Amino acid sequence: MKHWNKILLILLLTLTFFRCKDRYDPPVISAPNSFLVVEGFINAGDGPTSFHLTRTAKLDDTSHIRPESSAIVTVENEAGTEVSHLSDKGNGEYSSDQLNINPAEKYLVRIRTNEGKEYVSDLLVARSTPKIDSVYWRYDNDGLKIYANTHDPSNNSRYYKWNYSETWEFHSAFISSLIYENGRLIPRPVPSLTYTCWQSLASTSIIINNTAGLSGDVVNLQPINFIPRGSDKVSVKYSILVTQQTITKEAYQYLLKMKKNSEELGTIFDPQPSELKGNIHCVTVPNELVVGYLYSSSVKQKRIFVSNIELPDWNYFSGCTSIFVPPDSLEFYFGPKVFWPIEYVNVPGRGDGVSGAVRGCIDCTMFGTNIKPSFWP
Amino acid sequence: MVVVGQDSREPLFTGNYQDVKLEKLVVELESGSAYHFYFDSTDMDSLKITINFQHLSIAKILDLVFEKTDFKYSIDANNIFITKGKEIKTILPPDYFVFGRKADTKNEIAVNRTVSASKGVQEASLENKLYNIGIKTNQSPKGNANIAGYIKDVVTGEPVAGAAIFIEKPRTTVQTDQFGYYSISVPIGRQTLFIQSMGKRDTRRQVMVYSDGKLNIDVQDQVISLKEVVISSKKAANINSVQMGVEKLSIKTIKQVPTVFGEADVLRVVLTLPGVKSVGESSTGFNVRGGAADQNLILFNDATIYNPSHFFGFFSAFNPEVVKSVELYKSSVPAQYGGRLASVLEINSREGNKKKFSATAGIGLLTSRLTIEGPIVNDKTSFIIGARTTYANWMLQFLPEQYRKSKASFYDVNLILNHQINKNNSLYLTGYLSKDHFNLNSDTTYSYGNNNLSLKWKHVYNNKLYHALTLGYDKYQYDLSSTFNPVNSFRLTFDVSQVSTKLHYNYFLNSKHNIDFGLDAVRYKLNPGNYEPNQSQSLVMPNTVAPEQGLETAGFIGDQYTITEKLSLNAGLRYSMFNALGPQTIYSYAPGVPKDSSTIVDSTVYSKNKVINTYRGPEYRISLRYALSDNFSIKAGYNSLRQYIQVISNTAAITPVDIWKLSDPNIRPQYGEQYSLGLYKNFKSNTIETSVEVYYKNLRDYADYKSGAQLILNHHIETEIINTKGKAYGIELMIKKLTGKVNGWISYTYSRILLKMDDPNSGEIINEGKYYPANYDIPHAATLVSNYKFSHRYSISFNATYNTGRPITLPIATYVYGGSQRALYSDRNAYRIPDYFRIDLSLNVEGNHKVKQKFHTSWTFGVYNLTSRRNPYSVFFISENGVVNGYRFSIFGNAIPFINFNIRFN
Repeated sequence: MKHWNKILLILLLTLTFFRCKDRYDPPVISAPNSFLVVEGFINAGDGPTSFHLTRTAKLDDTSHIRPESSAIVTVENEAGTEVSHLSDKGNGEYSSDQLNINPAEKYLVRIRTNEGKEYVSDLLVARSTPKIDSVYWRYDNDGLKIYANTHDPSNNSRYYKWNYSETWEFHSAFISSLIYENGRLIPRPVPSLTYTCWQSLASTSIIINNTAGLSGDVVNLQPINFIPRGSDKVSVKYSILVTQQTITKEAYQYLLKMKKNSEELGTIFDPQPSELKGNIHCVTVPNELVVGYLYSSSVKQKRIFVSNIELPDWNYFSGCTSIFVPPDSLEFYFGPKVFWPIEYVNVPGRGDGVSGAVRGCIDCTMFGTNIKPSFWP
Repeated sequence: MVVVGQDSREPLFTGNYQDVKLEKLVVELESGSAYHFYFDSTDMDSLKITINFQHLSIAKILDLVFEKTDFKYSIDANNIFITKGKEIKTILPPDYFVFGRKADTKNEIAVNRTVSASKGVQEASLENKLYNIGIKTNQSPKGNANIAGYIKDVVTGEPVAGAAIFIEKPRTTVQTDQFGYYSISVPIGRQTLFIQSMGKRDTRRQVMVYSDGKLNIDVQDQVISLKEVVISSKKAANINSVQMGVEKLSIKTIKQVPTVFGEADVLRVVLTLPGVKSVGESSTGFNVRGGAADQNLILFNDATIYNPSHFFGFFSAFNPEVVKSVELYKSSVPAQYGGRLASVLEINSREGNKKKFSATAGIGLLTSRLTIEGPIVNDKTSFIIGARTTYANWMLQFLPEQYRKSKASFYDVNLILNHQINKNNSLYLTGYLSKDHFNLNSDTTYSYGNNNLSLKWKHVYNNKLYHALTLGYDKYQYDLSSTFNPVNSFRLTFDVSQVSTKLHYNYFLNSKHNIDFGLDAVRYKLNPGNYEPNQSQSLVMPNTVAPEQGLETAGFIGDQYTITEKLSLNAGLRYSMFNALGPQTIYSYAPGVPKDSSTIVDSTVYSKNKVINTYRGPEYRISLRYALSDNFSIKAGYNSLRQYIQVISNTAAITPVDIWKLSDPNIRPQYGEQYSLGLYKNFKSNTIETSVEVYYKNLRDYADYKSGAQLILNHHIETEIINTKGKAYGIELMIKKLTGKVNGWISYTYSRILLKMDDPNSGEIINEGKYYPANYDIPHAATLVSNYKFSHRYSISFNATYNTGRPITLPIATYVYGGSQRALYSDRNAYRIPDYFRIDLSLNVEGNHKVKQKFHTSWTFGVYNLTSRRNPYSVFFISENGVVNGYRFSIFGNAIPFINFNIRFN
């Protein structure tokens, strides 16, 4: 029987070393691919309308964002009358102030690029978005899960899209009262400026859902975001602003394809990646691929906060440790600015000195901003 | 008849009889004398007498009648005893009462016993014995006679299918069918029948043929002995058979091949054969000569198995303890089979031991199995029941992270009953049940299963004609359900079922023609999707895609025609017809524009059993063999097939939850034809077989899908399907050695499968209307399967597999959308994943070989993927934290050791 145990042990060890995902560098594809990418929507409610114009990049391009600048972007109504000429904000951003959209009318977006090509969208019907009923969270062993609920009493919305912007307050591991400057230590005027910071991120995945198969237009437990336990995002306080939009069935299908192509691969039963056909067409060169699907909709938003104290055993760990610097070694440690001083200390057996740590453990502005966001309580 | 009373005690007779039974003669002899005849009329009913006599005594007449037969007569006063074989002594032997002499008497009887002739079946078990076949008549024999009977295993009484029976002059070879039945036409006179079968010891029978008769032959398992190397010059079935592209594997061979978790796996071994591929290690099904996975007809004792896999394809659905042999037809598909384009995989089960009970148990790391078999009525009725189950959940935690919280389990049960009603009628019942249950780290639970039942009645009319009538019910179903979110909790079910019947006649016309013909009918019923709420709070609206019905009927006839000793022909014709049946609503679409929900112009409602439309056509199955010498032949073939039911899937690997779809007015049946040519040569007294086969296939109306097709719960799925043309071609080389200490095979295949979609009306032209490789296009593949027996108890198996990576669609560019960099795809299947290479090794240890012990144990130890190579299953690009990352995903990233323990109780 002893023999058996040994065999099983060896087996388990071998199996534990299963690692089935490896990085893959594709062969160099040298097709001349620079297609226009248009992202945005006509805001049928309150708020500005903006479009982001970029170009596709080669797989091995290091800078994968290639903004399309100096284009002319206009919104026209069905009769061909220009409703708005969006202003070029640079970096491929084109936007206008709030448009006066008539829900009974259809609109299109026309783009003339710098190289003289013209693109036009299909006619878009404005859709109105119901309000978000609630944004809420659940906390389990894996971490923090954020959900949203909504419903449309008129049963007209059916296809939904969400995105979010998350912001969190975080603290550096050590609060420093000293600055090492010109070979000497001086008091830090406002220690909290390097201690309390905020960081923000926008959603990076496509969050969509539909209620087409349901008898009521009700969305329940819609996953919005997940934060693994121990993440610094909820080390102090976390906030998420969820934006909801009603979109058309076609836009939904397009985004679903895009999501399947880019976010849901790598399973045993992968669908084949598929080509995308949007509702923006090149007039100058028919059949030229244009990435993006435009729609017209209003926007509804909701924000919630979650504090670290609401999540027992979150167990955030910064990984920072401090060092003891004797008075004769200040220049050696703090001169190159890699280490920052924290405060004067007296360590039994080593005497007086200064504690220090790497800058990242003291200066929170390395990772965020110390300007408190306007919405922060 | 004239009786002349020349002498009152000894009447003399005159008569003339042509082809009369003994009874007739006896009646007349009794009426003209005081004699009484005693005999067993069943012994005599095949004896025909032609005699002409004048003024002869009764003894002289009987001498003439029985002169060349085995019948003996003895006269005791007025009583005449006619016996078969043994003469009744009317006087006791002089030493009868002498003690100790009995043994000699016995011997005499034993010697006499070898001579026997009757219409009854004789059991032959010795090679040097001379068996008399048919009835000796007093006429000088000429012409041919037919011998028929069963070949059975001497120990278990199980029939041996696919055994070759042949005579040398003139060279005639026949094979036993699935019942172990054979029928061979031989010249009257002394002959030697040679019997060969895979895994059985070669044997022969000396026969003296007088007329048609029966001969059952028992064969023994081949016990491989170290010292004795049997070299047979007769093992040339590959040369002699007309069929080409047929691969046959016995369970013995299958069990030698190491597999990933140590359990013998029928489909894994099929994948080592030339021309058979799969898209990856965890895929349901296989691809034969450029065929899709749904183009294989998989038959388990005539029951159609829709999903041949368990556990994402890691295990095949067939319990190795119940399987006897596997036969794959990839080129010459017999006319009796149809309905799938690429191949027929016949899995034949064993029959239960007809003589005694036995049980087998096997324990593996992931599965355990138990098989019990035995007689219900000795020598007449037997059963075998096999069951397997798994406890694989513990292993899933070692899977890639995304599957770590998964659960999976399966079981399957086989029951096979066979009953011999009498010597001409037998019944065979096969039941199969499988169930899989899994949850891939999500809130959704999947389950699927096969249910099959088939009943076959075989009736033998005479030596030359028999029929098999099969009735079957086959069903495959799956369901998905989720209860995590009460508002959205749902259950989705799908099933496909068929009721089928087949009447198959086999007629051994003469030594040149073996004809089979029959009728085949399959009634399909599909529930393509039923989506319903799973909880009372659920808001899910029930959504049911209308059921589909269809009837596929076919008539077939085939002739195996031996034109000359060197040239033979196998010609078959199958005429198949498919009727799509109501109730159904069929949409019609505007002509000349892509089919789309917006181009529906009309819909027609058909009532129950109303024929919606009919597709029909002939299918030709022709192959020709020419023997250039005793061990070298050339074969050529042409095959055409039609397929009326298909899987609609947009995943690279066929999944358990793909949907099947019948042909209808909007979806044409698939059509395929294949031309093939092969050269077969054997070396070293036929111990080494080599072959080269080339083929070219045309495919029409192969159903591919549009980009990003929505296939589940689609009420007009034809809008997502495009019909493509296809062509496949390839060459297969194989060297095989199935005897000796070292055995196995090496094969190399070059094959391509290319599809083309250039119909401008389909709405989407794939890859600009040029030929593009199908998902399972794998040009180069090489396999080595070998086994080395270094003693009776120990053997080592070694496998190596190499093939080109399968095609994938790689991104041509990246773009930023929704806050993340994403990959952009264009031409379908323009690139390939890296090549696949794997080595497996296993050691088989048999317990001791004492014949009499109560149980027998064996162990298998091995390592799957010995070199730990990370063979990519797929390559994919995924947007993570805003950027695109490329990954290669391997199912088995390491060497996997395994242990398997088997025990057999007697």
